[in-house]
Amino acid sequence: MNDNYKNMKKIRNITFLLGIILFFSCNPVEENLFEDSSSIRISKALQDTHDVLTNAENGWLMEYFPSSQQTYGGFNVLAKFSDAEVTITSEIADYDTTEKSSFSLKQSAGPVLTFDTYNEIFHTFSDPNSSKSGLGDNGVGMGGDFEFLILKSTQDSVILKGKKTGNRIIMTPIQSGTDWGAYVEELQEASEIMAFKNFEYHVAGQIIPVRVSYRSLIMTYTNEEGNEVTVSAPYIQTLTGYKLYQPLTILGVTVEAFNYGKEGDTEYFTPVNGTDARLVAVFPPLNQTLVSGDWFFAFSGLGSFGKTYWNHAKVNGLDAIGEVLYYAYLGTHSDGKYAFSFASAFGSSLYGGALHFNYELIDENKVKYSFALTGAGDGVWYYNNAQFVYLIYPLYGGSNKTFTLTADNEKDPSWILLTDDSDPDNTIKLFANQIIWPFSN
Amino acid sequence: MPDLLLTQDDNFDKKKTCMKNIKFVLLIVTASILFWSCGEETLDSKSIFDNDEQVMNEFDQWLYTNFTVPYNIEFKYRFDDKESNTNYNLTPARLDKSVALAILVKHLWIDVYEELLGKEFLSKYSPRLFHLIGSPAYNSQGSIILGTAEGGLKVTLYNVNMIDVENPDIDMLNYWYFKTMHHEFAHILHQTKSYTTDFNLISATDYQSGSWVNIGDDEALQMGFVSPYGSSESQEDFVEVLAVYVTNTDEYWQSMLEVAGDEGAAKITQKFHIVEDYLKSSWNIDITELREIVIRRSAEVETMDLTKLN
Repeated sequence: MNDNYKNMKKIRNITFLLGIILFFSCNPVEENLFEDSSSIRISKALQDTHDVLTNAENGWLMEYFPSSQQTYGGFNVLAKFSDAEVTITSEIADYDTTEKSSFSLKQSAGPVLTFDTYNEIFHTFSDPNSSKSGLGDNGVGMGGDFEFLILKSTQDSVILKGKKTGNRIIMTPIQSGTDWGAYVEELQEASEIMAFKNFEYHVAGQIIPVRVSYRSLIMTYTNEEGNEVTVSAPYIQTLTGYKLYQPLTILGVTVEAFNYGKEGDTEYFTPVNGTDARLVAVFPPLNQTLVSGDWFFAFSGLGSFGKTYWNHAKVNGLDAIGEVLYYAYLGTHSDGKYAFSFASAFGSSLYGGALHFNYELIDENKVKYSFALTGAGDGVWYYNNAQFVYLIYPLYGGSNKTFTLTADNEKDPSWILLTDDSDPDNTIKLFANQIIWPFSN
Repeated sequence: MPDLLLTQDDNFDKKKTCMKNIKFVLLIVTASILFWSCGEETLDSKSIFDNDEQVMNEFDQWLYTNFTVPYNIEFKYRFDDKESNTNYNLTPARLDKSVALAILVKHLWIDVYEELLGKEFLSKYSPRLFHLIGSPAYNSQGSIILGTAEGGLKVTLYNVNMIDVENPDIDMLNYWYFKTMHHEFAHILHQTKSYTTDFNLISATDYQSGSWVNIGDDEALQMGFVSPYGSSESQEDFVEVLAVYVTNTDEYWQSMLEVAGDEGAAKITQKFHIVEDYLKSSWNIDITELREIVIRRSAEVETMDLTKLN
């Protein structure tokens, strides 16, 4: 009983205290941090963004970077927004064509701009069918976004972030009076004039070799700590030069954009911000160009000597196993070694491999090839079972062969012709563009 | 020492009284707290969830009238990341292709079931959401996905951008979409009412799982499957029998059985009878009548204008 009574008392006291605490703690008037509900504020934010987008009367210039690694660099897209429709053109399309489709602004993880019906121009960047853009693996394509988080929207600029890639995409209003077609055409011309494969980057007293991959500057240099590093600087074409995806700092020198210039035969780029650095276009000797790129075979590019050998490989090798050569090139195989690299098609399946080669550069326009007697992938299998020795024989003739090189344009060749120094009938024309089905081309 | 004289029961009663008092005090305290604390709160009449306002265009209006009102079906032709499989790289559907597909879905699917079973059947069992995707979904093994269904609610149709609006190819349409839709709808049916497990025994040891991509058409038939995909697992097998049967002529079906050979044909026929019985007994659907309607309506597509909504 005593215990019970004490417990009762305790409970009564606690209840009483609780009452007092609750009474004081409960402030009858809640101060709202915002005036409106979250829903109204979101709607208003979306409406504001919609107004910003549609108010640019000549549309927006979008600096679009597909691929999460920005592998292909950036592309200029022009977009004009009306109520629910967007009109698009881009330097990747004919300069005088535009395409219309729809867009929506919606609330997801923040306000989102989505191009939600297909646009023949805009969705080229995100189409998983790689034949649409001619780039990337099938199922991925260029790997670009068409849904964007809106990080900022003002009448001077809109900053987007790709939902999948996370890439930052900047939009600025296009001046009224600027003709879209003329602008795109100028961009396309600039891009043609400013297309280079190699540069030397003169910075902080050093000269760094630069390779161009799509629209990326690939630089390998020794940093302040003495380590060799490779950086990739994706850029977008502007009317006056290149604008980098993000500021590039090398040996303490930071650059955001380059202007193109030309003095005599020298073509170069200088930083827009006036920093002391210079990107000078260089044209490597032809034999260097040959061994540093991937150069594709076509049957029609072979001399009579080569044609005989290739025919033998086709009839006795490929035909016999029911396969067709899909492509073949001289260049760097996926194992990083210089090789005769190929893919062979069996129905819809592709089998790839390589047969390694050694090369020696002689003067500026000669190369000496020898077969390394090793392979990668299915290379050795095809060598043993599909007569692929006949495909490579014209390159080394059983031991080694020296070729003299010529090209259509030494600065930017679309093909290189190899002529065997010991046999003028043994010529091999290799192409910069990928040749699919070399036996039919 | 009166306390000591109390019996157990008395003690108990006393406790009850105390409890009553406490309850009473608690009630008063709580009531007064509630009274003071909540005096000035009011509720906002607007929902916080309704954010996605969209201007309705002519197509949206048509969809509302022809899909949403009669059947409670949403036909989502605009790409919606929330409804999409983010494992794939996809593109939205083109507007004109979506219009064509909507007209076709109505003619070759909705109206088929309505003709056979009346309006109520579809409004009750139809998937609630169709989502269109412009591109196919590419799998890493090299196959592509034509359509998917989720829990009887949602059907996703891929590769919409390859429809030729001017010259619709009915065989292609049947292969890509309507076979897929009958296939997915059949999943909804068997997920609602199960079919006999006897079906699973017919090809029990022959299912290929992901390796179905390596099976050729003829090979599948000879193994007793109406399609290579049917060889992946028994549920797919079941719905493929239905989908292939209703989207093809009897002539085609017989030629399939011929290619299948005695052993394959026997299995396919055995499977077909289970599907036929299941549809009849569980859903009162005559599969042959269903096929006749599908084929008649398929033939009508040639003369239809897929660019005009009416």
